[in-house]
Amino acid sequence: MNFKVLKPYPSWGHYPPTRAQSAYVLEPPVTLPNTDSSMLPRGLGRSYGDSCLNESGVLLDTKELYHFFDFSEGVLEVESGVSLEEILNFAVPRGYFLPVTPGTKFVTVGGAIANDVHGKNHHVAGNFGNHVLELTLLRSNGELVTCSPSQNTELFQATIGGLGLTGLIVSAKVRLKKINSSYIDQEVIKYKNLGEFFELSSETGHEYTVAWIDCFASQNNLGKGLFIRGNHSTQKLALDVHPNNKKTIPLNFPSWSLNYLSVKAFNTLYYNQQLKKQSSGVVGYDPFFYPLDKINHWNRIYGKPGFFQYQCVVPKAQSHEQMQKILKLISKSGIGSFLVVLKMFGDYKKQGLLSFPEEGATLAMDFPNQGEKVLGLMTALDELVLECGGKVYPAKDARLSKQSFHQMYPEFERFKAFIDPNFSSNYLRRML
Amino acid sequence: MKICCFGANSAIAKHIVYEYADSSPEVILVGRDQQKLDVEAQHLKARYSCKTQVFSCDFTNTEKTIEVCKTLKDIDVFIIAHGYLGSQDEAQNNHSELQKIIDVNYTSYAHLLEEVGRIVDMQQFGKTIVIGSVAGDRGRQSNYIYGSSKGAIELYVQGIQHRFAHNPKIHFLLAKPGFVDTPMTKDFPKGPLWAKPKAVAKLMVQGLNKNKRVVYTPKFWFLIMTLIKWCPFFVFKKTKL
Ligand SMILES: Cc1cc2nc3c(=O)[nH]c(=O)nc-3n(C[C@H](O)[C@H](O)[C@H](O)COP(=O)(O)OP(=O)(O)OC[C@H]3O[C@@H](n4cnc5c(N)ncnc54)[C@H](O)[C@@H]3O)c2cc1C
Ligand SMILES: NC(=O)c1ccc[n+]([C@@H]2O[C@H](COP(=O)([O-])OP(=O)(O)OC[C@H]3O[C@@H](n4cnc5c(N)ncnc54)[C@H](OP(=O)(O)O)[C@@H]3O)[C@@H](O)[C@H]2O)c1
Repeated sequence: MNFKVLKPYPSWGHYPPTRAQSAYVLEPPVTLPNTDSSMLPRGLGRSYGDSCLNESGVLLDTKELYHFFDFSEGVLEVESGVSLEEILNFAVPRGYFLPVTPGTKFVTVGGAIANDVHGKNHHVAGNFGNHVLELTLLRSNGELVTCSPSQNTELFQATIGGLGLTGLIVSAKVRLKKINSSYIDQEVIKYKNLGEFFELSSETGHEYTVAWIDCFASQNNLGKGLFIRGNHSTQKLALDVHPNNKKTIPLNFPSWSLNYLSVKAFNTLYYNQQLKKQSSGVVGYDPFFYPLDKINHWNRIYGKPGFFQYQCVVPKAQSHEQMQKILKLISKSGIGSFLVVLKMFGDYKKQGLLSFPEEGATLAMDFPNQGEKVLGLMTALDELVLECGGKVYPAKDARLSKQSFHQMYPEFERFKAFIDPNFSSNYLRRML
Repeated sequence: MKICCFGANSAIAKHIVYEYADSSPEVILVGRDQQKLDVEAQHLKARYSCKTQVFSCDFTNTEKTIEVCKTLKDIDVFIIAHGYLGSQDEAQNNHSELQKIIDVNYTSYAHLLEEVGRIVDMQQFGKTIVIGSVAGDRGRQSNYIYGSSKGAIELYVQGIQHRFAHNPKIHFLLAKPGFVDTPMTKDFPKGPLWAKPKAVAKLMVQGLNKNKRVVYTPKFWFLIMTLIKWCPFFVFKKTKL
């Protein structure tokens, strides 16, 4: 039986600001509520923007859909509300790992599919959706549809990266990855500029790669940072689930605590934490993939006004030149960001109609909500992204213009036919 | 290890079972809604490699309940967790609601506790978690019908504890949760006094492992209830509790 609640369901960026929202907590055996309002599935709310909000309708909270159905020969079948953390707790001791993981383990299988999330291994493994063998989708007319790459193929492709709009994903079969170690042999390389980043990225032999960059660096040092790469360890063969001692940010920080100087100091310290050009070591999967998960509600450091996350991808051919322009613009704006992440996506065929990743360079960063100034910067960044045929990631977006969205996602016209007539979101209403 | 859980679809009960699940025990789930029990059983199998058995039964049906209990043996841990909050207002005006609250929360517990008593006596071992409530500590105008049923369970459990006091392998724990965020309390506005079912379940299992006779979950409810219990009536009568 579903039960109704009224409580806040903010997005991760706390922007746009939201009030208490009606939601139905779904319980198995799953049925959709009888309601005249539009519905939107909701996972753990780790999307930064408004794609996980449905303010004029109701949310379908999947937190009670945490059941496992089956695990055999590396294929896991679970309900959509199961978190990636829970999958790791289960799979790691059995010698399996997530085929693809985003930078936090506090996301659900439903959310991972609906945004077709990517991770540090995109260049070799593609997106989460590439490892989904089958899913069951509940439509508002009560129909339960089994979709897979070979069955109801078009609905399957629309649902992967479908932003929760094609119906409720009830359960999914996901192929896990076999591992011999839950530890990572990690290398951290201090590099001096964008050119070095692209050289390092073109080296092969590492399953996981990402770079953290100092967004204040300019001119010859533009794009300087730490290049982090790794493989499942061959030195330490153990299948440990890493303990999770979380610290919590209890309250929103006052918004003045984050400013140009504190961000700049952080960036300088972070870059210089490592003095040597290159260091290597064995680290657990938790610090390697999920450094931010150590601090519960880290988003509260941005205070009440919230923050924006901006993630774009630019095609490979123009990536050096265009990233240069993008980074210059950010550096010049003086609007700082703690965590700027740069990575090369590979040439991997995606499943989803609206999936974000394309072969090329992707840049992600967060900006405190300083109103017009930041919004203006992001609009200018959109221009640079559009000019080379790039895209902005909907999972992280709260402000992209409708026109730019349609230019970036021409497949949206085809996608529309698969939207469930009783499903909607703030994001959809913004883009229709 | 073998666990038997009555009221197996209750949020708190499920989390008590998960506390034990990592050691892949055999679990017997007894509850009302067969479909939900099946999902739970499949989860315990797939996630924790447990062996499971399911019985669907309404505990106000005493005959059926006893029939299920007759099949049980070699149980290491019993959990008795079902409950019905009902509506105090309605029960004051409608005797069938009053009867239902008492039947589910007290009468069925008495029958189950007697059956569990019989089983552990026969086995000469077995530990049991019985879920009472802080509401049973003092009669209050807002929910004395539910509260008195929970209070009555406490006396019943005390009696059983006394009966088996000579056998260290037999133990009964009365757990008294405060406000817990579960389907039972879905319509209540939540605040800082509220706990999650997982947290209270953990405290109950800890209490059982330490052979406690009573645990308040979370602990701070002991303080709150001490104040409420000892509050003189001339003050108490002015409250809306
Ligand atoms: C610290 C951090 C790091 C991140 N790193 C990455 C990264 O590296 N790569 C990346 O790709 N993303 C990343 N993200 C974004 C995150 O992975 C996605 O936003 C993800 O979709 C969130 O999942 P969720 O369970 O929180 O879903 P929500 O945010 O609650 O919902 C996301 C979308 O999924 C839909 N949805 C949820 N459940 C279902 C369901 N059962 N059926 C149908 N639709 C459903 C919702 O309607 C919504 O459209 C990161 C986020 C954070 C906070
Ligand atoms: N939540 C709180 O704040 C709180 C506080 C103090 C004490 N408690 C006690 O904690 C225990 C667990 O409750 P909960 O909070 O976990 O609530 P819950 O999830 O709503 O569980 C209550 C369960 O009792 C079952 N039940 C009710 N009547 C029944 C009957 N006649 N026969 C068989 N099963 C019956 C329900 O079955 P269905 O699933 O079929 O409906 C339901 O699964 C209860 O004893 C409750 O009184 C709760």
